[in-house]
Amino acid sequence: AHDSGAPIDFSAAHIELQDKAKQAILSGDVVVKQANMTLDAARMTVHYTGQIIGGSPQISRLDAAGGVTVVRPGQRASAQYAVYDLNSRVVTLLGNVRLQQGSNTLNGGRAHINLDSGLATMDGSAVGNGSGTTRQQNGRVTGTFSAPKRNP
Amino acid sequence: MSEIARQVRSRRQQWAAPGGRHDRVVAIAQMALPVATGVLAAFLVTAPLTRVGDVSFVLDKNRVAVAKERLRISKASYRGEDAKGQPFELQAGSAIQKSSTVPIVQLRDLAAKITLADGPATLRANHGSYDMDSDKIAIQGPVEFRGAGGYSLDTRNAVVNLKTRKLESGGAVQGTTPLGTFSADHMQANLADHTVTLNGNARLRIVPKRANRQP
Repeated sequence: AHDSGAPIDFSAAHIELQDKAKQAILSGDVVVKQANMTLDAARMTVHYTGQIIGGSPQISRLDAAGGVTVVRPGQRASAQYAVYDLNSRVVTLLGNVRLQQGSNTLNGGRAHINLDSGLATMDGSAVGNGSGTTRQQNGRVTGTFSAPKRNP
Repeated sequence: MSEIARQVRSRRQQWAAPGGRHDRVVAIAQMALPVATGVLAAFLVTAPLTRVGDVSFVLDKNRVAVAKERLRISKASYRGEDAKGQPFELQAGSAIQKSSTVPIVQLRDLAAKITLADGPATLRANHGSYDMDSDKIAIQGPVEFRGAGGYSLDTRNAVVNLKTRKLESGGAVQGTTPLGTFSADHMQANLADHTVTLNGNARLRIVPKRANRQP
């Protein structure tokens, strides 16, 4: 399982820390690493709750936008938007999502990757904001699976 | 002649008679004085040879304690106002101004107290040079900013503009804020509304709460 409490390392061209708004805005090929998960995007916003308990801020959510790719051991997903909710430990991907797991690939409108179980659920409902999202055969999920060859 | 005159003359005659007091004085002097002059002459001849230290001295400008700086204050305290009229106070262990033409005061272990919208804030540093005209402090070494509500910003080598309440890093910078530790090529922080803007391969490390499981 993925440890959402592990330190998160961000790197980007620009970072703006807004303490009063309790958020940090990153832009310019943002790369985020936490434990064995890497998340790249063009822009990202980190939301954290106010209380600093024991010196460590309570990160609540990362919103990534613009060519997002999530790479985890055995899983690789790309989409237009991603929301990583640290509390529920789920990464939600939106906007022509492409999920590769092992040698299988899935395309759809939206995907949820549960970091605890590693389970990725995909559904075809297209993202409703119109601009820039291509409809995947009106909201269907397509995928190609390759069954391992049975040696005789 | 009167009796007294005869007595006076005879006393003078006794004084002058051979073997009298005067003769003894002259005999002693006759022997003592030449000896004294010989001793004195000998001393004068040998005195310069046996002289030990350099008796004469010259007032050397470099070795005399000349005050180099124009103004030296210890426990300095300087009060001013920022653009919005909020007061700020600058205290320092010692403040030295090199010369009156240069409005730069070198400060050592300085503490600036600024009142911001959300409360008082302090900024501490070991060395800084305060430009009185532009109200800017160029800080060498560590800088600690503590704002209201537990906000903190620690970094190094920054320029603090007391008028606009902004802090800017000279070059590459590291630092920590409540959110995490950061590093970048350049940093500008707005001390009033607690924002830090990092430009040029910015890094940020956040250590979220260990067990992030909220119901």
